[in-house]
Amino acid sequence: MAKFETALEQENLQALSGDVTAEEWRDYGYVALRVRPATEGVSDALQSLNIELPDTLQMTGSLDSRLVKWISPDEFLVTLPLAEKDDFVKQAEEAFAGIFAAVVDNSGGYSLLKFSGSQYPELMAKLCLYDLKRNFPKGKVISTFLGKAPAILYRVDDDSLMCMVRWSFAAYAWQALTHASEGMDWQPA
Amino acid sequence: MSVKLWAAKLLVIARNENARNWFDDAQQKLAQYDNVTVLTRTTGYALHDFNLLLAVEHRQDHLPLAARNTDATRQRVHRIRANQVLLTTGSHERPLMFAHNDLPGVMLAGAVRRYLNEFAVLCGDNPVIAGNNDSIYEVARDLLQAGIKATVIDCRCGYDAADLEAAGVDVRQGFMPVSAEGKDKVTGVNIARSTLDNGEWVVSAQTETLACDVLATSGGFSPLVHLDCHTGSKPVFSEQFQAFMPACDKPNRLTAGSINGHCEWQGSVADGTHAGLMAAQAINQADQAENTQQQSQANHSEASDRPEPSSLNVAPFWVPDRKREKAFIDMQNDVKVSDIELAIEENYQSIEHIKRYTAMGFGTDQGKTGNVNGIAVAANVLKRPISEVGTTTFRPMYTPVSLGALSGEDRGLLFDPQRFTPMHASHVAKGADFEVVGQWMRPWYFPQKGEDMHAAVQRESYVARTGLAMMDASTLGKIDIQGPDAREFLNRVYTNAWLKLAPGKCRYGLMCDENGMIIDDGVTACINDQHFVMTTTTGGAASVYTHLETWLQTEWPDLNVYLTSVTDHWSTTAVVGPKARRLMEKVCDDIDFSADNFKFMDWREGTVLGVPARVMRISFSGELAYEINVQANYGRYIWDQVMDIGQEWAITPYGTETMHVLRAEKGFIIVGQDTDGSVTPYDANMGWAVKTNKDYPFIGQRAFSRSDTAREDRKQLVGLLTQDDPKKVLPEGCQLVGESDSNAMIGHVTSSYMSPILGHSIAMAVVKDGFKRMGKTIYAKPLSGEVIPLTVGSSIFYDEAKEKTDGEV
Repeated sequence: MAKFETALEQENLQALSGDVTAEEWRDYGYVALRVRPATEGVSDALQSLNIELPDTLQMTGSLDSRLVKWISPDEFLVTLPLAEKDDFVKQAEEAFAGIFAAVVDNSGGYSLLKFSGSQYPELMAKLCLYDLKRNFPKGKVISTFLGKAPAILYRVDDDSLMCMVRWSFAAYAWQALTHASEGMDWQPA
Repeated sequence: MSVKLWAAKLLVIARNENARNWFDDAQQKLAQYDNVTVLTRTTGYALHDFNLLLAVEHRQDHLPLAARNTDATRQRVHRIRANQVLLTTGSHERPLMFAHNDLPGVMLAGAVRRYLNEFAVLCGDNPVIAGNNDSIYEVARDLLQAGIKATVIDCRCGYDAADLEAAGVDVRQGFMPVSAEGKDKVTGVNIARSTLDNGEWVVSAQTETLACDVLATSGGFSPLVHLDCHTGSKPVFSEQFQAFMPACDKPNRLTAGSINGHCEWQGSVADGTHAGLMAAQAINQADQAENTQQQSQANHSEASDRPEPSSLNVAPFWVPDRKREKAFIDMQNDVKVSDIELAIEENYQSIEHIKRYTAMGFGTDQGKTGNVNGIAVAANVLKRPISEVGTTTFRPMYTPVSLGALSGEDRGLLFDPQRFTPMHASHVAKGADFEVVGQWMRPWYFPQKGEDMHAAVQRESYVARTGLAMMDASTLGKIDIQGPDAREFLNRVYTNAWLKLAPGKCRYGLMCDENGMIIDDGVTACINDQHFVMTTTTGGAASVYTHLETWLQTEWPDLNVYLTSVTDHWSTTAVVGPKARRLMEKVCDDIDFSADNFKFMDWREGTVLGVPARVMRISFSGELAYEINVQANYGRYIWDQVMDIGQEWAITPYGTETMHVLRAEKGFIIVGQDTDGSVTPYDANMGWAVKTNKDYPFIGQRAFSRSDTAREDRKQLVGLLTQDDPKKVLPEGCQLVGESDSNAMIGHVTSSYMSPILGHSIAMAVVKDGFKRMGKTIYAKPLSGEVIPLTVGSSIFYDEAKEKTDGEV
């Protein structure tokens, strides 16, 4: 049986537990969808896939099925259960056949982290310039940086934050997070 | 709501217990709120647009060296994005201008008072206090309580100092200090009668000398408008306060306290209370507006109960007019009143020019003490109102901030992100030494016990040529290219032809910039007619992606092509060596690996050890090689399994150094090492990779017809072999000359290694007119002083006939 590993499998994710909890969500697939929403035939294709393209900086759907995130005017990132990824890629390629679009499996490209706990906003504020406290409601998606690592941030509820970093930057991002958490007087788990 | 208070440094200089009580009480109350952060020993040093406030916290500087925790931060920079900013920065006292005001013992009155009240230090037994405002009488009263009867010199008349006079204090109103006496310290002050006539001071020629051992002066107070001005606000001169006051004309910003002219602590507290309420009200309004999706702007001018500051009745500036006497403005840079006069005589009339002519405000205090006096002198000489002269520009930083604090986390491992492949842990376990390549931590070599780098690389290189080896090639950039115009796009960005590459095939491509210079190379696989996957150099991935997107979006928007970076998605295990096929047949049973059915530069989709994979038969060593590409999550599994299964053939992992040796033996270039932005494909002897008869020219094609690019004696890539010592490895970068006694450089060594398979050192070099020097002798002149004769030849040192490509059949 082939062994499946995440980017942070080797790290001690309990290091931030206490008032900040960090979890790596491992069983998700990521599919980049490049398409101009106004292109003829796109709405039918989307309908057949049962997804909607979000508006600027927004997302549609949910992590239970397909979460579609706006990345740029013609770039969307679909997060979905890993077990459904291969079928979705195949269906999407068929649905967009003949349409100027690209379906790209990027499932190995990211580490998905969830931050929660009462002090995670303070931790994120040390590494991320974006105003996550006041300008980041549920449903919003931004592409920004966590320290110096490119990151995609979004919220699926009011009390936590989802963070996607590229696989190769994940260890750096984790180093930055653990370093930033030093001296914040958090109690260990 | 979280409120941050910065620079919470309140000097309780009044000998009034109520102020102290208020301060203690306020501290205790603030400590009770979870949503209030109080940063002590912290100074706001810059206020940028949209209320981005930068502050530096001195966390340990107040501690003795022995008590400091060297593992903890000494200083910390806070970047505070504030909804509302309340500036309570206070004001600085100004010195008076008179001759010899730089003598030791001439002090600011506030300093004398602070020494007395905060540190119980008397600055002198016989003080004279001179000034132009009411504050000097408070100094005299404090000194009187300490048993010292000072002499008070007030240039104004009318202040009721009956209490002081009744206690025996000598109060002289209508007198101005015109010069200080003394050599190494102040011993006296010369005063003259002063009257204000129609806004101009008239000072009598007759003077009186008063003995003193300290001369405390107060020329009024300058509000600290710096932060308010960092975003472009201009301070406004107030005749009432004889000071530049904050304009405070930017949104969501308030001021309170002595920056507004308040001179009593109660007034400052009342002003702060009012401003705090205004800020809270504005936040509430903004929150409400946000809820209703409306824009709202807090209107601070609505305040009707804002406390008016009580005035210190500061008199207008007096400017000494005796040029030859040294009346200092800037004590740090020794700028005198006469220097301002000279600057204006030289026709430097703008205060910005005057500042630069005189260096006023160039010291470490950045003009906080003297600049307003300098402006007043300039106004006096120019005969213009001070408001018209204006101020110099207030720029961040308000206070010195150490480079260490600014760099903050950007040090050590956090200075530059290190990127890791999925196989990194296996490399570490195998004892690899690493090198950084474009942020990636790549295995450099895998030393065995007792081996140095040279020995390890020689062993790894030899095994890759004769047996079975493997390397982690995951770091190469990978760009997914899709769209109906993908072929045409590749045809334009690469120098060679792409229109006929069939699905299942790969092709090497050479990429140039607009000047025809090589900027990248790599292998691109055709997935289907409208789908390709390009690989780039490891270090060039990001710049190539940007380069391609730039051309696509700005020059060729008509091309229907989408680019998506998939560098991190794929991990790549390269299986290299004559026995590579044997291993591949053992780990994958749904691909035919026979040489006839899986040719060099083919790729196949299959399942490797149960994992879906794209296997490419490409080689950067010249040997039979397969690259197993799988989703990153399975990268380490594949690597470890290949390592285990490969033990049957003594598989050997190798790193980047061996990769360099192998590719150099074959004459394969490394972009950025054998090229440096000035090498064309023709210079690199790679004209075979250039197709100039495309319908649409590729990027850089036109540059080949430029006279300089087209000339035949450019520096060209050649191979070099030493003539005397076959083991002599030339230093990379080594200077090359045409004659042994010449120092005229004709080129340099770009790559140089010891080749174990050849038993000879090899080198690649760019040499002027190199192609015409084939077979001839040139010389290397390294820094050691040696002169090494070399034979110029082909840069392909090994298997020029490509007989090794198919490995063991």
